[in-house]
Amino acid sequence: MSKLDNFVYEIEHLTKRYDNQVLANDDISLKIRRGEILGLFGPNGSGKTTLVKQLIGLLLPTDGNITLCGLNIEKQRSQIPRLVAYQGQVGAAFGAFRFSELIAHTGIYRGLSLQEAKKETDALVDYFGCAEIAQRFRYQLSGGERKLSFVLSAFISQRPIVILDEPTNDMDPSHRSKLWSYIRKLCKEQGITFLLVTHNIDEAEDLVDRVAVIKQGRLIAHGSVGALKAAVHDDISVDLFLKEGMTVQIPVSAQNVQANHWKFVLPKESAFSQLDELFKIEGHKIDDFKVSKATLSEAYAFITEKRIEKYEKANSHP
Amino acid sequence: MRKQIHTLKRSIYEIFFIFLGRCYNLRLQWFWYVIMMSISPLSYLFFLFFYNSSSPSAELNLYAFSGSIAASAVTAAMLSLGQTIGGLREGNAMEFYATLPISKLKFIIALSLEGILFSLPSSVIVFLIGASVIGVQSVTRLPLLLLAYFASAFSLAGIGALIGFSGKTPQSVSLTTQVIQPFLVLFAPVYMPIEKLPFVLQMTSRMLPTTYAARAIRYALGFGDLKGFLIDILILTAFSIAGIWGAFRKAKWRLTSSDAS
Repeated sequence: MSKLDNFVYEIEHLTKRYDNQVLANDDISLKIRRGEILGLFGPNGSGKTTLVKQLIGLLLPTDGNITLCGLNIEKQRSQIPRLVAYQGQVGAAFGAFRFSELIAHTGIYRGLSLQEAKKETDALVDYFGCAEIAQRFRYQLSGGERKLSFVLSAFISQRPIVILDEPTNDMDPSHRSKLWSYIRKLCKEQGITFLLVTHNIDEAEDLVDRVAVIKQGRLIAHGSVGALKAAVHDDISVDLFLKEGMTVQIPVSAQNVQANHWKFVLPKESAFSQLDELFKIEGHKIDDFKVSKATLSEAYAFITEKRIEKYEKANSHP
Repeated sequence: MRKQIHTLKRSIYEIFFIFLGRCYNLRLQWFWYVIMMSISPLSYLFFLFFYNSSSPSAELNLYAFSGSIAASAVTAAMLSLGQTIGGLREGNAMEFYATLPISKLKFIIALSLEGILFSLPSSVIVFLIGASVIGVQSVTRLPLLLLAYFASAFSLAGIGALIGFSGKTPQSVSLTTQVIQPFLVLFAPVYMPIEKLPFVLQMTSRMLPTTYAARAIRYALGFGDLKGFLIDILILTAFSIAGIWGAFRKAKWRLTSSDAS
């Protein structure tokens, strides 16, 4: 496979400074591999949406280059919609469309016939269990349902690359779960590449292959989920839920998350022997517990909370 | 040849579905659209009838009547197109269209058709009320009236699209269209004969499509000569082509996001 085939997007030294001099993206270099799910994380106002808008040609970079499947997108802007489907943050617009009409119209605009568009729309509506709301006007729907109609629009008349900008905001857990499994299915069975911008890091952890973190316009970390988590710590996190009014002997560094909920970290070499001992002596006081390695959320918090220098030393891998 | 026919059919198909999608708004808000688009030309019409009533003149009433229809046709498409594009940009809804493989030209044509469709009810209301007030018995040149109406409406569609796409912010788009509208209508022989305008305006009005739109509509209502009508239609067609071509060349399609945020 050639270099061209490996990466769908190649972003080189991308800088975006708005007319009002706000530096939204600062020298970002990143490659997105064909068939991967890349999670793009960052605090509000960090420059994620600005980056995405440049990737789909809605904004021009101030400096740097973006190559899409070997094409310079500044020169071949018209090719972007043929390769990339995008779900943005449109909100309450298109209120006069019915839920299914928005999806079908998108299919027609992407080149489908009316029959094909209806067929694909019906299949998406069925998969996501939306038959009840399919004929309702969008202005009559909840925020999550309105968002879902736009997300499904990104899937009709499939493009090889799909960019979803905060797709699960306001969405109920059932639809969120279906969305994640659908993304996984498209990625696995059809090799679709996904760029997923989300604040829902816990749920995205099981989905994404790699992660890119942006803060104050700069790409401060990127790599596999495992590499990012390992950079935080390789130890074992323990969540301990005690029975009402009980106390146990736990490390002094333990954090009291809620009344009976304690959280602490044990060295991976001795974690299980220490837990074994704790349960033997004080197991009757423990209501429930959870043992895990560092989560992606913890890694994200670690990376974004000014502990960047430590992270960069620990993870010099590009 | 077969390929060209297929491309043309596909283009018409896509324009129709963009137009249809835009018309869905009518399902929910048709009443308010009719009121909004009718109020301005109807107000002018009645004001001029009352003004003329002190010295009744069939000619002035005809100008008031035909001028109201022309103003409604010419400005509705421009105003509607500019404000629609501005509104789509404001709600980020333009991003939806701009990230799909839709051509700028098809989008402009579909939105122009939307603007013209939305202006039709108000023009029909102006026509029905105005005709009964000035006593127009029947319109024998209906096809010519429709031709004049559509040529007039399209004549400023391109300008509306250009303003819609080029304005720095959606608010500035809305303001620009509203500032331009009175210049187009009141600085041209729309509501009164050209001789009544100051000399400078008599000259400059020749560059405004409203001049030719009003004249073509007056002919379609039974006043004037056919040769003059055909020349007016040709000029309006030239305005339409130049405007849409200008919008097609200059409008920043896809670069829809404001650069100032």
